[in-house]
Order: sequence, then C-alpha cells, then structure tokens
Amino acid sequence: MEEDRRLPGWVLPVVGSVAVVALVVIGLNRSPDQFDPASPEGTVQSYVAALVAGDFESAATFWAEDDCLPASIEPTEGAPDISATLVSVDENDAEATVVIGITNNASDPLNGISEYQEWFTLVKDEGGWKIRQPSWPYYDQVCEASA
Amino acid sequence: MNTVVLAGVVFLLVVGGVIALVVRAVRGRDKQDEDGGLDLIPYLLLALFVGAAGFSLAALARASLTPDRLIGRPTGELAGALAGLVVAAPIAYFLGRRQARRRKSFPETPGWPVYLAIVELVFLTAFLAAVAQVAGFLSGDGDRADWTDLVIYGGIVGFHWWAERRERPMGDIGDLPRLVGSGVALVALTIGLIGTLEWLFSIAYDALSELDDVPDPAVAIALAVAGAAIWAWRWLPAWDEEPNVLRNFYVGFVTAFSLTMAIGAGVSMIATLLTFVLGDGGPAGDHFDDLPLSMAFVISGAGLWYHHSHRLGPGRTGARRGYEYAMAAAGLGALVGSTTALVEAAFTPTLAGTNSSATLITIASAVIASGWVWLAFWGKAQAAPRAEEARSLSRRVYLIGMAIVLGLTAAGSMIAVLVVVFRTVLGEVEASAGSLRVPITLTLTAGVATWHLFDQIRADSAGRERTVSRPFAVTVICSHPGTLSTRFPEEATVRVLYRGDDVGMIDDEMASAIVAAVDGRSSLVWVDESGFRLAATRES
Repeated sequence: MEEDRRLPGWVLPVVGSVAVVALVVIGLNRSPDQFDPASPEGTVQSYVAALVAGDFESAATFWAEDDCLPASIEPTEGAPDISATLVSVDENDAEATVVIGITNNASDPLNGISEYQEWFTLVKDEGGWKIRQPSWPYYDQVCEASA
Repeated sequence: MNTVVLAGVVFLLVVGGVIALVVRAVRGRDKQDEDGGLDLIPYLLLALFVGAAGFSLAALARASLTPDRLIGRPTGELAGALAGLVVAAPIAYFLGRRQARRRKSFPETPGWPVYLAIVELVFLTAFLAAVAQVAGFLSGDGDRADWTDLVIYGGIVGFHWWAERRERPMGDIGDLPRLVGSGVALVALTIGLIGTLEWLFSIAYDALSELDDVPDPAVAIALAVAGAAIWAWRWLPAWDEEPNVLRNFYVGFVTAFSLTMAIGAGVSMIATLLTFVLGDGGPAGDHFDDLPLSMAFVISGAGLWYHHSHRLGPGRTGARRGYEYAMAAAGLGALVGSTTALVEAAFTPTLAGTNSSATLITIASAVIASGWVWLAFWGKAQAAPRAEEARSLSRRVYLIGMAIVLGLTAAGSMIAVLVVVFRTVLGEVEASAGSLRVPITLTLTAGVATWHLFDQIRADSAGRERTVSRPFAVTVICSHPGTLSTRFPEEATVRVLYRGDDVGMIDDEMASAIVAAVDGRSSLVWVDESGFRLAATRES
C-alpha cells in the first residue's frame, strides 16, 4: 500500500525544474513597476532611472536645490548592471523618506553581487516632490553656494 | 569572456566533484555498515543541501515575484539563486532518494528524526518570521511583504510533515521532530500572546491614564494564531510511545521556563506597587505604565505553566524532576545574583540624598522571590526518597552543573578581590572598599552555594556507594508490574508473582512509590485494589 502511494521518482525533479524555469522567465521579463511621478517613490524612480542612464543633468532636476552641480564619485557613467526595488515609503504632508534596495552586479562574475539600501529624503514642491538629500554614493551634489 | 568560461569550468568541476564525493562516500558506507548504524552523516549532508536549495528557491521567488521594482532586471539575484539551486537541488534529490531506500532496510536509524528536526527548526522558524513580516506589511507597519517566503518555507515544512507521517521516525529519538516543532511554535505563540495581551491591556490602560505608546497588534496576533495552530498540530495529538528522556526534558524545561517567566513578571509588578506605596513612584499614570506588559507576561507564563505542569506525569517522573531541579537552579542562580546586586545597591555612595528606593525594593523583591523559589523546589527534591533521587539524571545535572558554574563564579570573584589586595600590599594602589564590594559579596554568596552543592554531591555519592554495596531481593505480587523492574537499581533482584486478576496493576506513580518504600532492602510487596503493602524479608 505504501509503495502504491509513492510518487514516481521523476515527478519531483521535473516539477521543480519547471517551477524554477518559470520563475527565471518571469523574473527576466518583468518590467519595472510604474509609480506615479508625482509621488515620492515615483520621483525617486525617475531620479534613479536618470542616473542609471547616465543622464546626470536630468537627475539634477529632481533635486530640491537649483544651483547644484553633479559630483560623481564612481562610476562616472551610469550603472546599467544595477537593479533597484522599493523597500519603504514614509510620507507626511511636507516630507517623505524613501528607502530603496539596490543590487549591484559586479562586472567580474566571480566577485558576485552587492546588495545595500539607500535612503532619500524628499520635500513637497508644487504638487510634486523634490529630493532634498540625495543618496547613493557614486553620485553626489555640490552646490554653487558652497562650491 | 575568457573569465566567464573559466568560471563555468571551475563551477562544473566543483559541482561534479562534490556529487562524486558524496555518491562515493555513501556507497562505501552501504557496504561497510550492514546494520544501518547512526546514519547521521548522510542525513546531515541532506539537511545542508535541502537548506541551501530551499533558501535559494525562496531567493529566486523573491527576486522574480515580490519586490516593487524601480529599475533594472534582477539578474544578479536570479544568478545567485540559480547557482545555489543548481548545486544543492540535485545533491539533495539524490541523497534523499538514497536515504529513502536505506530507510526501508534500516527504519530505526536516528538520522531520519535528526534530519526532520533540523529541517523543522530551520524552515519553521523561517516560515514564522515570514508570517510576522507579511503581517507587519499588511498592517502598514512593515517595509515589504515577501509573500513568496510563506509559500516556499510553508511548502518545505508541509512536505516534511507529510514525509514524517508516511514514515514515522522510530526509537527514543523519534519524538525529536515533533518536540522541535512544538518548541518553535510555542516560542511564536508565546511572543504573539504576550504582544496581543499587552495591546489589549494597553488599550484599557490608555482609557484610564493616557499612555505614550499603544503597540501595534498585527504581528503579535499573526504570530499567536500561526504559533497556536502549529503548536496544537505538533504537540497536542497523542504520542505513540511512553515519555522518554527527550520529552521529559522538553516538558520539564518548558514548565520551568514558563513559571520563571510568570514569577519574574509578578515580582516586577509587586516591586512597582511597593515603590508607589512607599512614595517613590511619581505620578501614578507614568509609574504603572509597565503594567500592561508585566500582566501579559504573567498571564502567558501562568497559562503555559498550567498546561505543561499537567503533563509532567504522576509521581516523581523524569519530567517532574527536570522541572523541579530547573526551578531550583533558576532560584539559586537568581538568589546569588540578586543578593550581590542588593549589597551593591544598598552600599553604593550617593552624591546627594539616599539610594533609590525603587532600585532597592525591586532587587529586594527579587532576592525574596528567588530565595522562595529555591527553597520550595529544593525542599521538594529533598523530601523525595534520597536513594532513588540521587540516581536521577536531573539531580546530577543540577548539582554538578550549578556547582561548576557557581564555583567558577566564586573563584573568579576571589581572584578579583586578591588582585586588589595584592596591589595594595605591594603599594601600588589604595584599597577601596567600593571596588571590593561586588567581588567580595559574590565570592561569599557563590562560595556558600557551591559548598552546599558539593556537600549534597558528597552525600549522594555516599548513599549510592552504600546502596551499591548491598544487593537485595524484592518479590512483588501483582496483576501487572508495569515499569517497576526498570526502576529498581542493578543491585535488586526482582521476582514477580502474578495474581491472576486485574486489581493489582502497578502504574508509574505506584512503581516510584514502591521503589522509594523498599529503599534498597529485601522486601515482599503485595499489590491489591487498596494500593500496595510492604514487608521486610530476611536478607538473602
């Protein structure tokens, strides 16, 4: 009786393999979620997308201060091998904090990947949001007043 | 590109090598080990690879399905998860099949329950953590909800429950998976229960006197519900076998821990009340704002204690002994620590005014409570017949373990005292009474406790030697002896005469009582519907 109830040996590996392949296909074909550009998370999404594309001037337009210049630490051109996920949004009428998780794929495959979180502080600005305190170490700002 | 190819070759060589080594190792053991042996190494390897495969699969599902993705594709996460799966899953599969075949030939090897227990510990914990995370997210208090973790970890746990029901682990260690599952679920249930009760009491307290912060109950309620369901599933159903050392340890430990929890919180509440009554409490609303949490601890601890104390069994069972000696150990340890703290608090000089009465009252309450606990539970142990008690594992662990811990504490404190004394004698520093207060008190309290423990060890050893040196014979007239013969020491020769009716059955409680009453003397024991009677016989 016990023997009759046993699944054939090939079932588990086949089902497992199909599930894994399906998950990989879904993951690779899943396009980024589109957040409302007028929301804090949407603002950060646009900002990060501009950085990744290497469009620093566009990225600077999301800053709360106008007279600031981009100051790149590393790398000097976008980072196409990163992916970012939204971790949390803490928002009130005047200010918001957005936390994102960043996965940075090393160019050398044996060096693996690095995962870390970045915090963005945003302030309300004419119906939208501006980034008051940019995060992400490879792209900082230097303002004219202090430059 | 060359680097990628090289990495691929190295990867395949490593994976192939690991598989070949594992297959070779387990095949070799097949030939060497005809009786099955412990079979631990293959099961530990299986647990390792199942763990790696399970967590890799969870990472893969998280990367593909759960996060709110801002930019990019999760190639890095997918690659890492796939690498783990490609290595671990095939090895886990082949090892699992191999062990399933071996279980048919050797169904009682302890490796199977150990494997199930490890998987249950790891993945049930991960599942309950995922429950808490998703509940926090749904209540708006958490950052993200990796709901796929619930599915993956829950699936792994469920699969192994199914495997366990299909092929029951056997032997004394067969209870291990259920005990581990019960324990993990009980921790979640306790945390959830305390959090839920604290929330309820905080709402009530907030209505009476404004409270700074009423805790969010979502995570606590989720843990309480999930923990209660799993605990009921793993703990409450009837057990196949009689209690063994593992189950006795579990029941004894949980009973002792829950009572310690209730007493500790109760002492805190009493100290808070006394402090207020004696006028050192400030505004009542602020002073008593810890009550919701303390009450939650007391009620949760008392509830758990009530349930588990009714499963200690009648008479001086192994579980009851474990519980009582664990309580005695907790009481003695707390007594030494709180006495030292009280001396320090009472004699610490203040810059202005007197020492805080709140501190003194709290520590004094702890001294009284721990002293009472130790006296009560050590008294119970001493009231039991010494000959049988001295042979019990729980008593030996208590006496020897506490003697080592407290002896080392006393020795360390004495070293600290002597360092100050010698530095003073050598003229390097001025002796300060303040710096010696704690080490001297600890030396004295831990030293006295150690002396007491060693005195008991010596007395037990003398009793054992006396017993060992004198064989005796016991003739029992009964309907069924139960476990009686296993409870007598090796020096006893037990002869059973059957009555031929059902009125003279010996249960565990009566067996313990008979062994205690015989107390190493040759005896005739008569069991009937009114209990047992005993008469001394001539030494053979």
